[in-house]
Amino acid sequence: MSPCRNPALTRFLVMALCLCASPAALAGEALPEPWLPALDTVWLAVAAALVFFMQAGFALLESGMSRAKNAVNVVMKNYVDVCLGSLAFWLVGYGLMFGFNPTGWFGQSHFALIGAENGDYMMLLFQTMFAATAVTIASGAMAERTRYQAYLLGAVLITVIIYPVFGSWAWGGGHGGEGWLASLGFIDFAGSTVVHSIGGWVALAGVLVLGPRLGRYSTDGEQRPIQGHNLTQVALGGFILWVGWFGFNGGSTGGADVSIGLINLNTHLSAAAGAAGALLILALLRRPVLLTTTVNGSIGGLVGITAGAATMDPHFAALTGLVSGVVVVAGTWLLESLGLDDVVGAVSVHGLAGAWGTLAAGLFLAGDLFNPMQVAVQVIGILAGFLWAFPAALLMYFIIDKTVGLRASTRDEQRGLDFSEHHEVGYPEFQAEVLHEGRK
Amino acid sequence: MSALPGQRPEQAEFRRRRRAIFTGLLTRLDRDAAVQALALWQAEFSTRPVFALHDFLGRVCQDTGSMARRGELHRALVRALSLDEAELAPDPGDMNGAAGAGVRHPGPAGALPAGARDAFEAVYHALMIQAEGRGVDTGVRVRVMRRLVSLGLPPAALKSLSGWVAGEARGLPEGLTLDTLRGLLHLAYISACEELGPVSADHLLAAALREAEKQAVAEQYPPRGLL
Repeated sequence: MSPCRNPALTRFLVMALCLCASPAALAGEALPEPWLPALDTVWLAVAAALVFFMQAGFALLESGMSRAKNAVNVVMKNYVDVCLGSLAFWLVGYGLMFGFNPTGWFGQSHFALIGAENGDYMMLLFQTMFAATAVTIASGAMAERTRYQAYLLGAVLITVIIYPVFGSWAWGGGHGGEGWLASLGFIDFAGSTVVHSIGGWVALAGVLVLGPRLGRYSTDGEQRPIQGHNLTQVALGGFILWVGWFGFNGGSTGGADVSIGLINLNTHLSAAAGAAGALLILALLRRPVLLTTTVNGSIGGLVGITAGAATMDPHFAALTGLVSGVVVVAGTWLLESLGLDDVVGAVSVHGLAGAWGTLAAGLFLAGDLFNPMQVAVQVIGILAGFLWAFPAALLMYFIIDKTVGLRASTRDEQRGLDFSEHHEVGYPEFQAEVLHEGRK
Repeated sequence: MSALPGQRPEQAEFRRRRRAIFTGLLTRLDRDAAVQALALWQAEFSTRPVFALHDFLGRVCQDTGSMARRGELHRALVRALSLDEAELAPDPGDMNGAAGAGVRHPGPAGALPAGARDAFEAVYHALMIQAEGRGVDTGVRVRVMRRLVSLGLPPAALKSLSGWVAGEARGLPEGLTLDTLRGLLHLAYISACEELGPVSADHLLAAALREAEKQAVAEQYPPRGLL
């Protein structure tokens, strides 16, 4: 029903519009000073919600790429790592990352938000979502053979040590001091390296410690593809991640700003070009054009543009995305040829595409294209991320494996982790009898 | 903690922990199930870190079908571990014999229910026929034989089971527990995974179960009880 045909509804809408719009805005004047921080906060709150929504995207995508007998386990890992990670980041991670940073190596204040000012609340909320994103990347790579409690222990340690320490190097100093990478002029606008590559390198360490799923590779190295159980879910997860990325990159302005237009346009173009890049390389090599690879290509494009979304012209953003798509496909093949089992392609999508995107942010810096000094700084940042996160995560997962046990037993792999780790299954109508005798 | 004459302190501590675990188990399980659960603890969990108590509980609850009572059992074990020696149940003795005989799981997994043996043979043969159809039956057999030692059977039982897997003996050896049969079927699944990949192995196992369920043996014991 059109509002015009209903006078009461029309009056209500006009009144609501008048109440929502400030008099200054209606008069075409600039907003008065007190409005600006409020608008910034509103935009960051919306952006934080969008980034939080990415968790749903990760859960759907990772679960869809796993077998039905592990669907609950994957979703539970995504759900609970954001819960525990949020608490851990509030208590320790935020202070380590954004607290007073006199040495350039880690923050030393604002643990549990002690001494916080008004702006810290929004900042913590927004940055918690970033930390949760970095942590959850490993879950997909390590799916279908990781013990639940061991994974969560790793997730908390990533949130309190691995992620925030590197974050303090690149983004630290919000309360005084400056991270050593930031002081070199390292560009990583929203975290191609800080969030995604770090998550990717952690995932790589986890995959190495775990080993491949039972029967994923034959003894002579032949691959046995393990299809996900719900590709529609994978595509929906991809779409949700794409939507969330408008908050991830757009919110990284730190406030409501006209630059958000360029940033989110770059984000969108790069994602589209990422999928196109993946399609292109598959078509050129006469390989099947798979939905999973296409979705991963677009996510690779999103990861790639995250570092330079604010400092790149749109045509370079598209180029960054296109190359990201190719990097994702080539990276996946490389890992498979090495006998590594990354269930969702997280190492390629986040680790490698993140590294490329960080390099691209230096190469395609608007107004200072191909500056070798800037490119060198970007390379230092990429290497620092790898040399910190990968060995630290390798050691962490090794210790977890030797103490609490990281890998599920082969019998649990046979029955599925839904039953062995959670005692419930995602699809009880047909799973309970098949997998474990229907025992409760 | 009182060490017996000639007993090292670590032995005394091990004995005290075994008594404590047994005391806790007895509060929630019948004696047979508690003995078999204790055998599992001694064989697989007694040397692991303290966190492994959760895994032990999970295995016991899973195999006794008492997931809903996991919390109760956990509290009982924790309480028993803090009791004075005078309050603990008598030491049931070394459990190696029980574990070595294939009694590795507590409760119903240890005993062999009527019809389980026939059901197992039906599933296993159906699986091997499926594997033969894919040209991997020999590979699966060889891989199963290489892994038989992991079932923890005494040498004589291991030798006769190996002969049966190789196709040299017609009848499945006597005296195997339900847990051993489950373990053997799992070894066949792992071997099929390695030969064909996990997706094909899942299909193979599901097809073998369906085939066994069509046979009369399924009326006495459900083949899926072997999973």
